[in-house]
Amino acid sequence: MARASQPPPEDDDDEALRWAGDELRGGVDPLTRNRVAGVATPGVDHEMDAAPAPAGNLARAAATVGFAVVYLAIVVGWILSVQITGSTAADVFSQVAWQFGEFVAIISGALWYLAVLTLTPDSRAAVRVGWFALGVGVLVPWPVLLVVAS
Amino acid sequence: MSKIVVWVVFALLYAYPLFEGISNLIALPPFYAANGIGAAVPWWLLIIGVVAPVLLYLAALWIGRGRELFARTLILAVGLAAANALVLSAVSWAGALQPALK
Repeated sequence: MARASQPPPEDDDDEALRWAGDELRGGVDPLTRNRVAGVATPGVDHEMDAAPAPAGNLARAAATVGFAVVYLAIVVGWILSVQITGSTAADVFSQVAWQFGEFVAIISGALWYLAVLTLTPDSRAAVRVGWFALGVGVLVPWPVLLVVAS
Repeated sequence: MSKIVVWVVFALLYAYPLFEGISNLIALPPFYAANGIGAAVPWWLLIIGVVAPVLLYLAALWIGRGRELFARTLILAVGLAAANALVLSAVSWAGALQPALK
């Protein structure tokens, strides 16, 4: 742990939250950063060590979990739906194409959910919820719902 | 280059729900007319069947622009799955709305 220049002695807590070389890289050590954040927002408890997670993150996580249940229901709905729908085509190509169409319809819910999850990692909660909601609207498993309703 | 391969492969895959939509649009109205229910042709469902695959393909290309290949492919796959789901939904709606044959 050799250092080119030894910093002036500080108390042990401060030292523990600092990496050698922070100043050289222009970085700000966590302790200083939290102090600055605390000063910048008056009325905030200055004893607090770390800033709380923004409320948006919690809403986003809640929406992600909530929509997981909805999309699971969509996948189950499509599994039931393809039992109802059927192709009247006789030739092999049409049969295979129809089966493929049914298969991708089954996985459509899972695909949409995973795509939103992977492609909106840093988006705002509203953006993610918007894509989730659009998918629910598009992928309603109508074949089984119409049979249940009739 | 690989980008174009993905576009072409998915264009072929999207062609099937599009073909299905077009064949429904062509075959259903005469079938209804022959059975005396020509006035009940569900035109909006037939139009959705043709338009949805095309719109979803174009939308997938548009949303995927500027992204890496994996994201583009994933978005095209999602659109393809949605197109097939929509075509099946349109077919089932048409069946549910069809009046009794005369």
